[in-house]
Amino acid sequence: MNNRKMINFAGKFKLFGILSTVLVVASVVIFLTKGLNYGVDFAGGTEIQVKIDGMNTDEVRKVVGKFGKVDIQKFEGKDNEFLLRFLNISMVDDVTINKFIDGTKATFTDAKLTRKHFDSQVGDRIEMWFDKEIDQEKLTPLFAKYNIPATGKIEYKKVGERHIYRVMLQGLTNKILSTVADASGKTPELMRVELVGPKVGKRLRYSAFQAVLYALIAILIYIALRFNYHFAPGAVVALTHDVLITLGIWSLFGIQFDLTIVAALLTIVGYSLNDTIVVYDRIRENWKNPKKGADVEEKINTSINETISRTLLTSITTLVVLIALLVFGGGTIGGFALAMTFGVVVGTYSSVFIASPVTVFVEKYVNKEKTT
Amino acid sequence: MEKNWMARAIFVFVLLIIAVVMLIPSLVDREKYEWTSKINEGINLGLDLKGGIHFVLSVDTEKAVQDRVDRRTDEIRMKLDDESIAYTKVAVDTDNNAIVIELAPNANTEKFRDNVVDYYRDFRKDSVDGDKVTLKMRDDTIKSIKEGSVEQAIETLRSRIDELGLKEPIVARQGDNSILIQLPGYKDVERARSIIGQTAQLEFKIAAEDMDPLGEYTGEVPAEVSLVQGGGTNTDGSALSYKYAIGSDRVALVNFLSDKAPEGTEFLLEENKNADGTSEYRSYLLYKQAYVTGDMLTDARVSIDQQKNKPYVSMTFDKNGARLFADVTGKFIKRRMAIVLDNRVNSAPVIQSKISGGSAMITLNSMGDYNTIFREAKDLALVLRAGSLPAPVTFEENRTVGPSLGHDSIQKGKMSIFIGFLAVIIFMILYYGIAGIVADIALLLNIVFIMAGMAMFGATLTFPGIAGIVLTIGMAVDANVIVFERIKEELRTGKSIAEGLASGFDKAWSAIFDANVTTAIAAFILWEFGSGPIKGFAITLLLGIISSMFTAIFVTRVIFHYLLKAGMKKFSLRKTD
Repeated sequence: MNNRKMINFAGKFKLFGILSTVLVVASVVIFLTKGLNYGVDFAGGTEIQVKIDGMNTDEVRKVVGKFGKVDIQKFEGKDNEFLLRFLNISMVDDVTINKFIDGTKATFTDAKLTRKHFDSQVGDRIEMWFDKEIDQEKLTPLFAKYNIPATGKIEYKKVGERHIYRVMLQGLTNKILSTVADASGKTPELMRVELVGPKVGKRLRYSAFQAVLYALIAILIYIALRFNYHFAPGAVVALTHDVLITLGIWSLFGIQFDLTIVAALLTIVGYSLNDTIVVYDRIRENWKNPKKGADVEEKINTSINETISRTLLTSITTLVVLIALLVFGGGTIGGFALAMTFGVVVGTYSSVFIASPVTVFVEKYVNKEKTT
Repeated sequence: MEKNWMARAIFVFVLLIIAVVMLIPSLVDREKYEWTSKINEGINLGLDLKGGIHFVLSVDTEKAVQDRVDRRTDEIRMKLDDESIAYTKVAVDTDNNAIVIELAPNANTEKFRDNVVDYYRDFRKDSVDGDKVTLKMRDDTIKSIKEGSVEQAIETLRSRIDELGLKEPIVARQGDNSILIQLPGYKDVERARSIIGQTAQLEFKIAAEDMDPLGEYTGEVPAEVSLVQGGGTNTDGSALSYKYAIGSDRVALVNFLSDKAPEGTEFLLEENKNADGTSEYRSYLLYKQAYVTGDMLTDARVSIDQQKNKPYVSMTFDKNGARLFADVTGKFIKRRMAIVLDNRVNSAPVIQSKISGGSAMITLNSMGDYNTIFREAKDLALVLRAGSLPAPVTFEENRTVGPSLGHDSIQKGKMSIFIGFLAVIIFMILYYGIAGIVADIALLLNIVFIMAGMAMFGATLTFPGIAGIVLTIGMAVDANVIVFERIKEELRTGKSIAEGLASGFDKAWSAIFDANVTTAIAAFILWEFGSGPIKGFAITLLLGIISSMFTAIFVTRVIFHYLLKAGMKKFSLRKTD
C-alpha cells in the first residue's frame, strides 16, 4: 500500500491555469454585463411572500402590477405561494403628493396651507397645517381625484392657531392584500414582508463589501504569520479566483444576491482557505524532507497527493449536507445552499490547482536563490 | 500517562453533563417548569423562526443639529435688535453649522462680544473678516445634540411600544444613529408603523384638579392600583382635594383609568424610577387641550440659582408661544401645569406666577442632593429640547414574518439538520468503519455543545443560524477526516496501531488548527459587520468551530485510547486498508 500511485498534478498546472483564467475572465464578463440579481436587502424595495388561492402568476401580476414595477416568483412545489418584489416601498411618490397638495390649495382658497409633510420612505401619512379649520367633506373627494390611497381616516388636531390634518395612507402591503382579496374572493395569507429603504440598501451593500474585504485581509495576515509570506500570494490568487468565479456563476444563474448570500460568500472564502491550508500545512511539513521530492514542484506534488483523499472526502461530506439543505431547506436556505454548492466545488478545485501552482511559481521564479 | 486519560475522560463527561443541564430550559415547557429559568433563558428563536416584526429606524441627527443652528440664528437676530447692536445681515451657513453675522460699521463690538459671542456658549468664534463674524457650532455641542436626539428617540419609541402591550419587545440602538425594534409575535405592520412613526409631541397641559372622578368612584379597585389622596391650590387660593392613582403595573393602571376621565379631560401617567430599576406610575387628570406645544419652545437649558445653589430648568418661547404661555400661566396661577411628552407626563410643576416675556423657569421639587437635582434638571431640559424639535425618524427596514412561515421554517430546519446529520453519519461509518462510529459520536456531542453554548450565551437561533449548524456538521467531520487520513498514512509506513494513532493526531493538529482559525476569522468578521440574520449565522459558526475542534480531536482521542485498551487491533474495518 505504500507505493500508491502518484498523480502528476504539477504536470497539469498549466492546463488548469489556462482553464481557470478562461473561467475567471468569463465570470468577470458575465458579472460586468449581467450584474448581480440584488435582492431587497441591497437594492431596496418591498418583498412580500404571500399565499394566494385560486390565482396564477399572470392574474396576480395583473392585479398588483399597478402598484409599481413588480417581479413575481412562484415557489416551487407550492403553486399558491408567491414572492412579490417591488422596487418601491411607498405606494405614492412625491409627484402624486405634490399634485394632491396643489389641488388641496386650490380647493381651500380661504385657508392658508402653512406646512405639509410627506416622507416617501415612510409613506403612511400626509400632514398638512392650515391656519383655519377646513371642511373635511371637501377634502375626501380629492383623494380619488388625485389617486391618493387614503384609508379614509383623517386625524385632526388643533394646536394654538394651527389646524393639523393627518391623512392616513394605506401601506403597500395592506393595499396589495386587500386588492388581492377583492380580486380572488379569498383572504390571502401573508407569510413574510421585507421592506428595505434605498438608503439602507446602499449601506448594507457597503458593509457587506467591507466584511468580505476585511475577512480577506485578516486571513491573509494570519497565513503570512503562521506560514511563510511565500504562501500568501497563492492563497490570495486562489481566493480571488474563488470569489470571482462564484460571483460569475451566481450572476449567470441569477441567484438573488442578499445578506444571506454574503454570508455564503464568506463561508466559501473560509472553506476554500480551509482546503488550501491543509495542503499548505503538508507542504510546510515536507519542505525540509528530501525524500518527498527533489525540487519545489515535486515536493508540492507529493503534498497534494498526500492530502488529496482528505480534500475530496471533506468536500463530499460538506456537499452531502449542502444537498440536504438544498432539498429540504426550501426558500431562503435553498438559495444559500445552492450558492454554497458552487463555492465548495470551486474552492476545492482552487486549493489544488491554483494555490499550489502559484506557490511553485513564487518559489521558482521569484525566490530562486533560496530554494535551489 | 495512564491517569491522564482518566482525567480527560472525566473532563469530557463533566462537560457533557453541564451541556445537557444547560439545554434543559430549551427543551421543556418553561412556563410549566419555572425553576428551569434559573439555569438560563433557553435558546432564543429569531423573528424569522417565531414570527414577528423587525424594524430599523434611522434618526436624522443632522436635521436636529441644523434646527438648532436655525433657532440660534433667529435668537441672535432678536438679541441684536434688543441690544441695539447694528447689523446688516445674519445668515445661516448650513453646510458648516455656522452663523454668519455682518455687523454694521458703527456696531458696538464690545456689546456684541459680551451679549452674543460670549453668551452663546454652544458656538465659538470661527473667523472675523472685517465686519463679518462667523460663529461655528462647537464640535462637542454637535456631538451631544446628535447623541441626545438618538437617546430621546429611543426613549420615545420605547414608551410607544409599551402601549402595544407586547411580551419582550426589543428597542435597541444600532450603530450611530439607527434604532432596532423587534416585536415578536406581532403581525399588524401597518398599526405598528403608524404608532412608531408618529411625530413626538411636547405639550403643556393644565391639570384638572378641580375634578375628582377617582374620589367619587365607588366601584372595585384592582389590587395593582392604589388611590392616594392629593391636593392643590385653586387660582383663587382655595384648597383643592382629589384622589390620584399609583401603581407599578402600567397596564393595570391604564385599564383601570380607561373609562374614568370626565368629558374633555384625560388621565396620563408619570413614571418615577425607583433605585432598584423598577418603576412607579402616578396618574394626572389633565384637560385635553394643549395650551402650548413644543414647537413654540426655542430653547431649554439647565441654570443654577446662585443664591440657593440649586439647579433649575429655564426655557424660552418664540413670540407666539410667549403670548400663549403668558395667557395660560396668568389664567391658571397656583395650579399644576403638566409637561407632557408623547402622552406621558414628564413632570407637573405648580405655576408660581404669571410668566410673560417668553422665558420661564421650572424648579425641581426633588429632595435629593445637588447632583441628583442637577441630573433631573438636565433630563428635563433634554426632554424639552428634544420634544420641542424631535429629530425626524425614518423607516429603513421592515421585516415581518408571519407565524405560519416561522413554524414552517423550524420544521424545514429540523428536517434538513436531521437529514444532513444522518447522511454524514452513514457516510462516515461506511467509509471508516469503527473509526467512523467514533467520529459520529464526536459529531453528536458537537451538536449538543453548540446548542448548549447558544443557550448559555442567550444567542438567538435564526434560520441562517440553522444553516450554520448544518454546515458545521459537514465541516466538523473534516477535522476527523484529516486525522484519520493521517493515521492511515502513518500505518502505511509500518507503525503499530498505537503509534499510528498517536502520531496521526499529533501531525494533523497544525493543519486542523490553522484551518479552523481562518474560518473563525471569517466568522468573527461576519459577526462584527453583519446584521440580524447574518449575526445569527456567524455565532453558530463560531460556536461550531470551537466545539468541533474539541470534539473531533480531544474527545475522539480519548475514545480511541479506551478502544485500544479494550483490544482494538485494526484502525478501520474497511478491507482496503
